[in-house]
Amino acid sequence: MTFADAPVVEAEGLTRHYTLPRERLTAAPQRVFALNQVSLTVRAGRSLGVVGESGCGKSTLARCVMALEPLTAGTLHILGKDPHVMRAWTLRRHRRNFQMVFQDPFGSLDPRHTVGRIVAEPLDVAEKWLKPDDRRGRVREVLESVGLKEADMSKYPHEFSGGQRQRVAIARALVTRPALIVADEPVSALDVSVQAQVLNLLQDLQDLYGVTYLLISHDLAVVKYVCHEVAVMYLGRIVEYGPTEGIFTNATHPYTRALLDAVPKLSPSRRRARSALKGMVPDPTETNPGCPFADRCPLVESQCRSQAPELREVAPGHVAACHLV
Amino acid sequence: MSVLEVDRLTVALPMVAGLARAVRDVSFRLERGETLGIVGESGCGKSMMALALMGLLPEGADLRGGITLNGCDLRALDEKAMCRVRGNAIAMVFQEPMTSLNPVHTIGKQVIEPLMLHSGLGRDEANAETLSLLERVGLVDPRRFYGAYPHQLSGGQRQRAMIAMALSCHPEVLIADEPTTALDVTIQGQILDLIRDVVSERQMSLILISHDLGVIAETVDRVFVMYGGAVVEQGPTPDVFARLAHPYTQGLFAAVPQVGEGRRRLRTIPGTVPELADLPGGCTFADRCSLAHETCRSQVPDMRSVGENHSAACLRLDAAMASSSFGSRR
Repeated sequence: MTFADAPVVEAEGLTRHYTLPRERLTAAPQRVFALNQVSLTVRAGRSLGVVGESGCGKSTLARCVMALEPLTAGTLHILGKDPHVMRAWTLRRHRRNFQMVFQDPFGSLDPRHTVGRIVAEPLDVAEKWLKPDDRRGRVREVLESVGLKEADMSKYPHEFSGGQRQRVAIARALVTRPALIVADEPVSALDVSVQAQVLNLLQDLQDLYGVTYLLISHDLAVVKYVCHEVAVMYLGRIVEYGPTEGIFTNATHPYTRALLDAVPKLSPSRRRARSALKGMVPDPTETNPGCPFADRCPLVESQCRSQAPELREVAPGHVAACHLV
Repeated sequence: MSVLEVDRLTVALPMVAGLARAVRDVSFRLERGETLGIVGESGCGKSMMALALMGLLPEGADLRGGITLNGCDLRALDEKAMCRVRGNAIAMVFQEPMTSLNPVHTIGKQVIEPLMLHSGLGRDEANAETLSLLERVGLVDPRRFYGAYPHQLSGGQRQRAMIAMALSCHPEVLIADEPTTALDVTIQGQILDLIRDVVSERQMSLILISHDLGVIAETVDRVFVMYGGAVVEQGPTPDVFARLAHPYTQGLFAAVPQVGEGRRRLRTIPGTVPELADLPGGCTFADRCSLAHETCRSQVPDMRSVGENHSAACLRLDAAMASSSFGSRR
């Protein structure tokens, strides 16, 4: 890549709201505030992990970055170009630079196509000028780099296990030699022993090709293994963002701390007192003027309910949105 | 006397590919108030074992061995008699609270059903009992939840309702099959705390099935590690986690990403879980084990003791324990 130091992803104030169907003819339709003012930057060869519970907007973020979802507001640049303002045919060519790996390797591969055809398909769109021999060579090359064999090209997805299927999905994302891979929960459908193989593979591919990852996961430990930086999301907002080490050793936002605390530890310590979060994630159709986490926060004060906290720097490169830090 | 005794339980399921030996020769005793964890990956037979205990195996399944609940042989009961036991003396919480609740009945109706069926309470008493159960499982404002339908509840609330149903007849044994797998991590903590509290409060015995070593480590007294349908290691939870004996347990432990560690490579177990219809002869883990010898492929390993009440099924136990660099990883 010639974009050595340029950010691969530059997002500024990404916002995505959905309008729900009207409940009554006279009522104003409700809106879901799925993504609110999310800004982030990922540099080449680095990986950013996005963590949060279900409904925090992390998958919406992935889909917005992939330009699969229009933005309500904000700007996004991938390798310096904004996919959201491109014409369809330019966007199609630009798409070879950013590819996606989906969560469920059982649903994301067409059961009627051979693995060779599945992996080659992005080339048909992005690089259709390739000669058949080159095309085949490229497919063979990526299959080998994810640990599959050339002979697997003529097999069908059902002949593979979950972990191998996820390798096929990763090969398909890699075949256009993208600068960025967006992976939405790439290992959550896999068994523990297989999950470790896929996580190692993601790291190896980054070392080999210098590819940049945007990794979406609900599992903090997974993110910790693969990512250089972590963004913690809650109700469509980033509440803490910084280098992985900083987040895990020195979490400042009460939500991040509660999340870390809730993960079961491998040492048998019975009756461990968790700083249990009461209640659940509020309905994203409502907005209040205060901090989105105020209702569940153990430290909540009066200003938290009236004024929304901005992201403030707590250590170099490490920001958190909380009045009390 | 033990509440539940399982003796050489074996389950085989007919499949297109042949007979899948889902559970092989599993024996244990569960005392009153004891909590047992069963950990393993998908296809290791842990859910089939739960279904066998509940008498809910799919049609055509071949069940051998003995299941004795409070001195009563469950295998000898016909379906009608089993219906009186199921949900009454032994109850189960399933993994997916969306699909295991009936979407067209209110939560109240589903909790009251086993109560009216088993405990012979009148409607008013059963109603009052249902409300107090809903309150006990943390559904504050029980009257509202009584009349609510499953789709109006969040995942955590649905799982609480499932627990209320399972608790309704004061079962002696509670089986929870991956009760928190579908839930977010902060909600998972709340549900595990609830299960632990009600189990100790009512002196129930608990069988907790999970793929998550962390959930097992924090919740149960005794742990079984299952692989390929058989128990490969068992023992008191602190002992097992302090001295991992079986190479599979060691590998599984090393493969779990832990929050307390930096960005680095994970140790992996090569290959994948074997098909239950096509298990290798000898030790089922031999194909993925770095210590496997020729004998491992031909001879089925027996359980050998590694400590008090702690045993593992491995022919190369000495080598495995010696190379146990995983165990020190905390």
